[in-house]
Amino acid sequence: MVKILVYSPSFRMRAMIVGILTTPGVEVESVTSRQALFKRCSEKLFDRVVIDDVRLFMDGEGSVAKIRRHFTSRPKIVVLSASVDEQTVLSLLECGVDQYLLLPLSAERLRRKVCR
Amino acid sequence: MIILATIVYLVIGSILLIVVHWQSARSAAAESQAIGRIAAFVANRSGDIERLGKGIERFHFVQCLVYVADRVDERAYEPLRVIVKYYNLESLLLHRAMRSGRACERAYLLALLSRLPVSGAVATIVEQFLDDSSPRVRFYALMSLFSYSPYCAIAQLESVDYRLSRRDVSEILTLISRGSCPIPYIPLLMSENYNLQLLGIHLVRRFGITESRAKIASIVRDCHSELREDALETLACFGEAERYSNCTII
Repeated sequence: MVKILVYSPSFRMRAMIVGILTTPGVEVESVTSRQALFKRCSEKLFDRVVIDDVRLFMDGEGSVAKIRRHFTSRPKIVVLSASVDEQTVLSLLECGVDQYLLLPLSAERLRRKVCR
Repeated sequence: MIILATIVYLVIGSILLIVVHWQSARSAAAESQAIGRIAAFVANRSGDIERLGKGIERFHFVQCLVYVADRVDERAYEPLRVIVKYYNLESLLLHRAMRSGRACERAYLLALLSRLPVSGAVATIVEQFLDDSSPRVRFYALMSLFSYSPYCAIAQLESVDYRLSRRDVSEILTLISRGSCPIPYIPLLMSENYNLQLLGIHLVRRFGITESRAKIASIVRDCHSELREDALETLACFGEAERYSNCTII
């Protein structure tokens, strides 16, 4: 069972991502705020964390460290954004983000990257 | 007496706030569920289509569908088309637009229509809005035609007799970037038409098409061109503005 945690400040985007990712063999949870995200990551080990908020990484590696701090295995972090700026992408990858997906989303691609 | 009146007002105000908050929470919950079901249907390309619109008012359902359509790529258009046809959403939007007396409402309804995959029958009806007195209505009628017939986009844009604004170009580029409106950039840059050339310049800038550098530079050197400033900004994005810094732009 793949465990996925979804964070987006927008309830509509959260609903959309959860709707796409919910398939047999996948357990999806969602959180509404950054504090809830860090708290949930400290309570349970997830296989993937999908984040739709690039601003979370404004402090560099701090947020990634908070997500991965509590367990020896590291959940894969996937960031969704509409920004095509190369510098933004490189900065995120340097912070420790594993995957960067552009909006508009391809549902198949998102499932392939996240659910497997 | 005054204190009593103040207390009554405060109580009534609090009750109203609670009711409004409860209604918006209920509406948000219904919207979340609708968006989740639509996204699942689009991702699976199948599902219980009857269940998609349950528990939500039809126009609100259109807004949820447009929200999902804006954030998925063109491969999701087939399931979206099925939903639009099943719920007869095109006629809902068109009838409301035709009945509406307010230009802003017509423009909004056509904007929603332009973001859905529409059919050929809609294109014929939407053409009547191309001569509307409101520029926003005219533009979104054009965008609806784009949505139906992306391969005729250039011809439709060329036939427009008003100038596009930067915001209009930005919306067209959003449509192009979703992959639903393939437009080659070379004919746009070579065109004598202001709108097409403006679109071409912004298109190469948005997608970083540096192969067009020579043509953009020729627009900057052309003293009679009204698009020199846009062309120079594009070259600046490519890192080439220094070469043309001695050009005078009035």
